[in-house]
Amino acid sequence: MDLLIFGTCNSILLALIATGFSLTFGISGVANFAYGAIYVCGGLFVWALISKAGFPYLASIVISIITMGLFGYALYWVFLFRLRGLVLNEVIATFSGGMAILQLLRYLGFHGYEYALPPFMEGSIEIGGVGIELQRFFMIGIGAALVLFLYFFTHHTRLGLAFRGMSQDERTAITLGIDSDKTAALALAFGSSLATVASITILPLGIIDIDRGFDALIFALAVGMVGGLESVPGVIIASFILGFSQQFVAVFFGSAYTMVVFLSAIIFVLAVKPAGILGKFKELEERV
Amino acid sequence: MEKGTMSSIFKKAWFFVLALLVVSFYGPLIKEGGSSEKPVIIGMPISLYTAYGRDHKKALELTVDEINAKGGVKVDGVMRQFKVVFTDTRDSEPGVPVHDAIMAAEKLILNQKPDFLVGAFHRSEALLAAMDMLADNKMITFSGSPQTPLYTNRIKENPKKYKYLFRSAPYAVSVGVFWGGVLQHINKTLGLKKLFFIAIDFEWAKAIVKSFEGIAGKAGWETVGFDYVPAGQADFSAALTKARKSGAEMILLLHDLPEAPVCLRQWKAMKIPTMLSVIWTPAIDGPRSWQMYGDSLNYSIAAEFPAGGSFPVKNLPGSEEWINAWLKKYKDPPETSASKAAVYPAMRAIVDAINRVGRLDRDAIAEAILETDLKDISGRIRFEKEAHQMVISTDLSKGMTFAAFQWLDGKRIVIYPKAIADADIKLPPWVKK
Repeated sequence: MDLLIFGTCNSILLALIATGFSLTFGISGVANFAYGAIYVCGGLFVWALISKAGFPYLASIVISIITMGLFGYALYWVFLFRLRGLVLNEVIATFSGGMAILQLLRYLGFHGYEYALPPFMEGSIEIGGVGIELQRFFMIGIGAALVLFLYFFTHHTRLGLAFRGMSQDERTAITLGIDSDKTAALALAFGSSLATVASITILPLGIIDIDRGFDALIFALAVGMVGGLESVPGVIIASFILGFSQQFVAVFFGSAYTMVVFLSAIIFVLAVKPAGILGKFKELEERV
Repeated sequence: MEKGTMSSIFKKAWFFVLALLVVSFYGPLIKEGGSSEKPVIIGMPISLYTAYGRDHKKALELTVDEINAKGGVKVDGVMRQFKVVFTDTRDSEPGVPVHDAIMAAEKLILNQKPDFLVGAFHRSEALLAAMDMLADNKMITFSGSPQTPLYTNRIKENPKKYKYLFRSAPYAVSVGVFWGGVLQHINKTLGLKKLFFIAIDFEWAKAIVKSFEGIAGKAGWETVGFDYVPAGQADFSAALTKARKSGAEMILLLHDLPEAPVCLRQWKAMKIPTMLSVIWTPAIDGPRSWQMYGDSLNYSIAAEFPAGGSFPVKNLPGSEEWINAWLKKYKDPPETSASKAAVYPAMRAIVDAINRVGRLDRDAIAEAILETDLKDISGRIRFEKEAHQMVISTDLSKGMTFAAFQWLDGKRIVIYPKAIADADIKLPPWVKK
């Protein structure tokens, strides 16, 4: 039962972190390597609004999600607009931008033990005889709600359909009147907001730390590579495979070996199906 | 405007600019010359943008302020003030090579020409690699956070070369010896004897677990298992499940990264039937920890060095002075429980040695430091002659002591050593004996 409960929690945690990165990449083709920095900034922004400006928790969350979304939107138009399509340049720009943000935060002193978000609700509950913190329980709920929201959004809203059109075939989408740059910028905004949702949900479990930004990026990449970088359903499936595998390895072999799960899964997927479980981008090359 | 008026304005402006230049060039010299004597410079090469770095910096400024307020130190018959200079070694940041930290320290030595270094470095690797450079520069150095016994072992092996190097803080061995005493006390008081280690997957933690197995064995404990958790992991459920299955009665957590409190939250949520103690876990043993993690810390056991360094100890009269002075100067309490460690004893030893020698002769001062014998609120400041290590002891008449405490409803209740204990240890209500 422990394995089932904490395996689910771990899987949802990975899915929350990886979804924003995958969504952005799937729609705009931009691998946003500043994703980890945005993840940390989102959490720190909520912390600052609560502890320095005295805002209520819920209002701080909403403001932070919107602000980081606007940041992602601006990131596209200021830095990525001119680089679009130059894959290496995109990677260099976003990676160096992300590093600069994290190092700036470190320089400004946001590195210590005092930066923590309060849990949404203190306490714990028992599920099947297993005690679990309420925050972790909320995380499962938020993860499930996010999946439902994304499904509804991408199937029943104009913008969501435009996102899907872009991710399926950008040129055809353009011929149908979808503005490629505008949609890509919105994808960056959407991905940044999702990174903030993830950080606000996950960071109350521990402390806001700059190094968690590096972890978030690595987790997002690993899950994306296994599931298919551009495929949100693939990312969710990969999250559950990796989340449960990690928990299984931690319980039966030791927590220290959990990182081996990522590495082994990446090597296996690259050898067998380089596009990832539901990825399409490299399928043609694979056939050749 | 008339030509004559313009010319007069320009003349005045030139005069003003000239005066400004003269003041900016000679002003600092006039000020320097105006003060009584050249200050004694204390350098601190440390990873500044960390909780330990910030606390060490503040502790040094606070200590120096207090010494300067009393007139400073007498050198060649003249009272001289202390001045502090800092450099960021960045040695606690991920991916920063050791030689960058050494270069930062060497730059500080060459440019600022400090007379002493205090609280030097964060990582053992940096300190060990810097030893020869420090010795070549004849720099009297008191190390900071590094825990490695290799530092003092090397000093012991080559005392002539490393005569200028000291440590004024605990290290892995003294931490182990102290915790051996805590475990023995818990064993005797509560009759617990099965121990499970949860440690971060770093070499220092593995080394301490290895040495602790022997120490715990001597204290009447049996190690029933261990689990190493990778850095960044925010889920300790697997490790805690293993601890429960192993029949452990006490979990010893060695984890210095910010996610450590997650372990305590899950320990409580999962109702793991064990006691839980933490070693070198600033997120849990720090003065601000309860404010952040509240009830999830209840019943956990931690330690601070020296006793009275981050909160007043009832049985150590006067121990409130440090924390009160800190709050007066900085308003917020320290971030870690080790704010007084390393810096304060080092500065007291430096002042005492200069006063005895009477001049800034590094060889004579290094020898004088070894003869230090000062009474302090938290014990006695002395150094081992061969290893240049400050004496750490639970006997206050022999050396400086730690204080082990238990979090109970937001208060830190000292439980060990007996000489300064407030109360006995309490079992969490969900643990059946």
